[in-house]
Parts: sequence; structure tokens; C-alpha cells
Amino acid sequence: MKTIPTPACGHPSEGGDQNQIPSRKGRERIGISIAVMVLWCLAFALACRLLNMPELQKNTGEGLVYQILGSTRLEAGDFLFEQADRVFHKGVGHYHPHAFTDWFSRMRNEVRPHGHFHLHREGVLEIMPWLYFSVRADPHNVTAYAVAAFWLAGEAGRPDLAEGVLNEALRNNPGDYRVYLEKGNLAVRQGKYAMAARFFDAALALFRKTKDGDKEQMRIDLAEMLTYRGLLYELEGNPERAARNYREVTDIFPGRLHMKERMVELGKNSHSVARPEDLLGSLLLEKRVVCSEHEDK
Amino acid sequence: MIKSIVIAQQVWRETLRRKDLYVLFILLLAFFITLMTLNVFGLKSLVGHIKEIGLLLVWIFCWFLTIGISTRQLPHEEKSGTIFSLLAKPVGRAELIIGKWLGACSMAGLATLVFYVVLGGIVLARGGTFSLRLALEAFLLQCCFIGVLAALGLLLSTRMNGDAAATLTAILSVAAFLILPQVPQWSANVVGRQREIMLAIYYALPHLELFDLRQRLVYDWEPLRIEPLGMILAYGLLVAAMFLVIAWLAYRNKKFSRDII
Repeated sequence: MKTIPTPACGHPSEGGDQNQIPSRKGRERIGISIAVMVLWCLAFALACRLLNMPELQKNTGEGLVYQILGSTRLEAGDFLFEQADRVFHKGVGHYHPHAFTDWFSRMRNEVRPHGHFHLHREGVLEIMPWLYFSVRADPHNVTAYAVAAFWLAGEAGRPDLAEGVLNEALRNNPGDYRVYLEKGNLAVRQGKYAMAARFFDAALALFRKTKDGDKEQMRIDLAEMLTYRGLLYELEGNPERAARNYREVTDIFPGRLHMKERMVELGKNSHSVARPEDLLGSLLLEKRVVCSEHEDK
Repeated sequence: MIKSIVIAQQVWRETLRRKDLYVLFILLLAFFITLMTLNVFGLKSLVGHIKEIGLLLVWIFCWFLTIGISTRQLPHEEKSGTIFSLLAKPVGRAELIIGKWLGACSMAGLATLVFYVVLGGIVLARGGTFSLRLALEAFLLQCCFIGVLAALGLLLSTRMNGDAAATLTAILSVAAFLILPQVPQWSANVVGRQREIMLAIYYALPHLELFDLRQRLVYDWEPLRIEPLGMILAYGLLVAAMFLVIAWLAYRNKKFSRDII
């Protein structure tokens, strides 16, 4: 059997030396490869050095992805929250007026759903994945947590899951009064009035320390907390403190005449005609109507 | 027509030999499995988000596939030199373009059908619903979308290399899909020359958003009426035909050089 000599595998002196000398192009390639490797090593060393700096080692309790994405996640969180709103309206987004209407616009109207509709009963739960994605993108989006807890406790009939959501919100936002406000609402819904009172007290205490935020929304929240706490004071048999809370509400919103009437009734008889339990129930019911389905019809 | 079908068969074989289709399919399955295993606040049997994200993925993958298949056909033939043996046969350039378009459309359409079936199976298995008529309408309109996109890809690839044609097709189609529906709203705040340019672009580019029935399908709206469905299908076929005619005009006198081999 014949063996075929392979010069490259033999001794250099046996003729394989010519193949082993790299050409000029090959030498250039090797040079470039070495330069890239050196640069890569430098970049790696620099990255290690930067990550070992003490100010970057602070434990913020947030994941790596969270830190890498930076403020992009806030935008993503807002987008996903808006998506939840769109899902609630059966895929119909916000209406924007158009400058002109042509054949394409008419066809678009045919293709895309329009009108003002809401999901109902268990269907509402379809917004949950988007709220879930929203709070994963931005764990400080308390509104998303609150909305999720509201529907879980309501339509889903799962207050245990709502409580879990609010506990997660509390872990991520320990100083936010809105989480305690929602926990109070949940406790009221469950009829745990003593617990609700503690949550509203905590919410009010945190509210007094809050400096930043949407001022208008904060006024509405304060009025809500004071009203709930006032009703709970009534249940505790403390009409004076209840009246003080209502007075504070009327200072914020002077147009709330029913509050004034209730204050007068409490001043005269130490109790009001409408039972506080009924009012708590109706207040919770009022909260669910965020926009009327037939308002544009 | 027979010659075009033979060329289309060649496109199918070439696409099936490549890995794109299988990679996309595996990716889609991976996404679906991830979505299904998601624990959303402890709730089970939620299906709306799977429908919505699933359909979005089907659209994106169909987009990739159509652009990939359609834009590489002619440049690949020219680069490998097979265009000479192809045109030496009694095949006209119009037949070549139609054959390539047919092949790209049917392959991407078939892949989309498989994606729809997989998504439909998952949704039904999780207790969700899909209106069959609406799903058929959505698929039909998506096929029309594929036809327009493939024709645009072929048109651009007659005078560009494959990568450039794919990039430009992707940019044009994504811009048309996302920006054109906003023009009637934006033009309210613009006057003069800017408005004219905006309207010129609005009417020049194909309105791909008309082929998108995802929202109706996801939220179980009633099916599209026959009249608008027919009009949109006719519009799609017209645009695709127009692109194919321009592609033929651009390609009929094109000279090929053996130097590029």
C-alpha cells in the first residue's frame, strides 16, 4: 500500500517549512487578531476594575437586568401599563382626532375595533399579565400593583392573591403611602376593620412625609384616606375624631356637601343616618367606575 | 405559468434546505413555552396575552421570513452564476420574477399557516377561543401582506445586492406599517411644504396596516364584513402587481457580468 507524503506533517527540513511561513496577508491577520485580543483583555480588566469600585457595589436589592436597563425599564413599565388599559378596553386605544378622512382611514376603521367597551367579569383578569410585566419592568409602579390588587380582590374573588401582590408592592416600595392605602382598602373589603384602621393610620403618617408626587392625585388620595379613616372612627365609636377627618376633607374639597351634612349629623346626634358600613361598601363600589362604558354614546 | 411554478418549486427546495425556517419555528415554540409557564400573580388559565404576544411573534417571524426569502432570490442567482443557465432556458424574465414571487409568497404563507396552527392549538388547549371565520380572514389578509412584502423585496433586489435589498425592504415596510396610520393625526399640526411631503409619502407607500386583523382576533370582535375584506384584498393584489411590474421593468434589460462570479 502506497503512502502519500504530507510535507506539512514532516520535519521542517523535509519540505514542509515553506507552508509554515505565513504570507504577508497572514501576518497582518495575526497582528490584527493579537491587537483585538489585547484590546479585549484591556476592556475586560477595565470592566472588572469598574465593577469592583465600592460605590458600584451597593446592594440596591435590584437585579442585574434592572440595573443594565436603567431608565428604559420605566418607559417599558409605562407602556405595559397603558397596554393593560388597552386590553381593558378590548384592544381600543385612545381616540385622536384626524385632520382628514380618506379611503385608507375608512378601511382602517373597518379593520381596527373602535368604540368604548370594557371587559367584564373574569375577562377583566386578562389585564393581569400586562400589569405583571409592568411591575416586573418597573417595581416602583405602585399604581399597577394597586390596579392588579383591586381586580384580583374584586372580579377574581381572590383576596389572598391581592394580598400577595400588595405585599410584593410593599417590599419594593416600603415608604410609599399608596401601598398602605390599598392594603387598607383590601382590609375594608374583607371586613377586617381594625386592620384597615392600622393601614390607613400608617398611610396617613407616610403621606405627611411625602414630598414628591402628582399634587392633584395626592389631594384625592388624602381625602380618600381621611374619609375611610373617618368612617372607621365612627365604627370604633369615636364620632369626634371622625368629624375632624371629615372637616379636613371639606377643607380640601369644599364642594363635598354630603361630608358637611354628615359632620352636622355627627355633631348633633353622635351618629349619622347612613351607616358607616354601608358607606364603606358604596365607596369601594364607586372606585371601580373609572370610566363609563356608555359615556361616548 | 408552468415555468413560473417550476421556478417557485425551486424556491421552496432552496428555502427548505436552509435553516431559517426551522430556527424561527423553534424560537416561536420557545417563546410560547415561556409564555405558558409564566406565573402571573398566581393566576392560571389566562390566555389573552398568549394570543396577543403569539400573534405579534407570528407577524414578526413572517416578516423576517418573507423579506429573507424574497430579497435573496435574484442576487443569489446572479452571484452564483446560475442566472445564465436559467435564462439560457426558454424562460422569460417576467416568468422568472413571477416564479420567484410565487415561491417566496407560498413558502412564507405556508410557514405562517403552521405558526397559526401551533398558536391556535396552544390557545385552545388552554381553554381560550379563536373565531374560525376571523382567523381565516386574518390569515387571508396576512397572505396578502406577504404578497406585497415579497413583491417589494423582489423589486428592490433587482437593482441591489441581497443584504441592501433586505435592509431597505425592512425599513420601508416597518416605517409604512408604523408611521403611515399616524399621518392623518400628525398632519393636523403641520402646514405648507412639510404637510405636502408628509401626504406624498402617505399616498406613495403601501398601507400595510390594513392587513393586520390581530386586534379583532385577540379580543374576539365580530368578523370583518365581506365588502371591506374584498376591497383590502383587491388593494393588496393591486399593489403587489404594481411592484412586480416595476420589478420586471427594472430587470428586463439588466446586463449580467461574469466578473462578479
